[in-house]
Amino acid sequence: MKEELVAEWAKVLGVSIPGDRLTEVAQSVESQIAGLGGLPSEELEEVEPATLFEPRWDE
Amino acid sequence: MRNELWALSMVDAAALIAARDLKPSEYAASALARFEAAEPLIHAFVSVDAETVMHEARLQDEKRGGVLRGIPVAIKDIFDVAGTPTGCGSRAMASSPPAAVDAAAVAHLRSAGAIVFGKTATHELACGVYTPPTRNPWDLERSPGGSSGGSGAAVAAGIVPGAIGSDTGGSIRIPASHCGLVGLKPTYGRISRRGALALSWSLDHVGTLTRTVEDAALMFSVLAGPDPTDRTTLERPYLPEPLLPAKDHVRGLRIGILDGAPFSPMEPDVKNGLTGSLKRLQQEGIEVVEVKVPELQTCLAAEFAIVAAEAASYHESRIQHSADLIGADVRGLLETGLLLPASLYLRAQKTRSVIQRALKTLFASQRLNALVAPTVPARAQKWDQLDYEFAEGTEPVIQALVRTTAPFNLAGLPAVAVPVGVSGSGFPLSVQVVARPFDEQTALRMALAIQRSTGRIESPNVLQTASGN
Repeated sequence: MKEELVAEWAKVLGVSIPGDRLTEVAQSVESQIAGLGGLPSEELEEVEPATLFEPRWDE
Repeated sequence: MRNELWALSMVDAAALIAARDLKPSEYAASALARFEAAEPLIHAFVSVDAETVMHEARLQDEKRGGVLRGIPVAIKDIFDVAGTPTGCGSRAMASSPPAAVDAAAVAHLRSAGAIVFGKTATHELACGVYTPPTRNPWDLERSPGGSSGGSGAAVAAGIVPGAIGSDTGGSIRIPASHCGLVGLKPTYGRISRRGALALSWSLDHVGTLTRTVEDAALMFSVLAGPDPTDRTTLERPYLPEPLLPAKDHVRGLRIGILDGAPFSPMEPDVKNGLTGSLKRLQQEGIEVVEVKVPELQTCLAAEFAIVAAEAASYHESRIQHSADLIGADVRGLLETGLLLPASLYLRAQKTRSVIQRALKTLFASQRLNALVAPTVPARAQKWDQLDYEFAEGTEPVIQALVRTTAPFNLAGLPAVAVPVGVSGSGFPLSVQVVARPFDEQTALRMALAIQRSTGRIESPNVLQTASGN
């Protein structure tokens, strides 16, 4: 992943990543994306994520 | 057999106090003496107020009741303790004001008569497996693990008989394994998280570090229960009573041994510890079958994607305004999490659903009462060690330690790390027992059977460790 892209992307999100850390962060993001976050999407069709909205009001 | 007060189990100390054979103030003074001797070597605590400890102990001298009356306990420094700042091991939170009220877990302990002895070191923001500057009482050149490393070192060194920690990807079970302790990570939603720093809302579990299984059951029975301010704890099954039956027969129970990735590779000593404990369980009449869950191979990717995204969200303001105050390892994870696409996070949560379903199917199809796996695949790392060298290749320490523990954070299942002996080179070995959702009882009963067949491992005498004896 291009470091410039990471720097711009972070800036849009309000975060300033110093130049000497850009390589590390870019590699880390690339590695996470390459890891797919788990299983490939073809194996996750029809699967609901393990997140649940609770409509009941807090006491 | 050691006769010093510091070597008492929590259950034994509580019984002596209840019978008025031991005064809480006498016990607290002994804990403080042990603290004075061991703490300069292990650096487990971030704060201990000896005057307050003795004051509370003297008050308990006059009281009656409370299953933990007069028992000193340590609190990981991510839990609020009224009147004390919650530093979370981070310069980014060093200026936090004192907490106004106790975290729910701390309040439960106090209600049962426990005395808050002090706050223990945590890896920064509960996100890491080293916990500097704390040292492992078994070997001062090694880490106690993390992130609840201060709690693990404090209990292993005999300063307190029990402590609380948090476990998002192994942060209780890793220190338990490294320090020769029992580490209990209950089912997700069993213990309230109110008043504790979040690392990853959907993966954070509150639990205990103790020297025996009976002590874990005692602390857990005090901590578990519904809390209206933490909705994950509501409408859960009640804990059975007694949690550990007096005359328990585990004969006929059936356990699955998790084989293959992500539990291998592992060091030969760890493998021997696992094999030995299984043989002893079989001699007790427990049926053992080997099982594989291929879906668990994706656990690390899902765990890190969820933790990175949720932690980045929780700490977003800190990343924007005080990132320079956060250590490089944790900062890198938070920055990564902020930049990950939402679709990746949701794919990880879908993967989690698949893992949960696979484990449910496994328990049903194999008629299992529990699963057993190595808690971690290797001995405690040296405090500056970055990689493990397995016969199969090199692996980063954090990846190796989390790959065996994270599956049960993702699945939310109860898991108990329990010692299975000491290796020839003198470090503790551990396996974890995993049970069905909300069936902590079976996990604890099986862990007790392992403890019974192994024999309690002796606590390290940290003072001898220091002098090289």
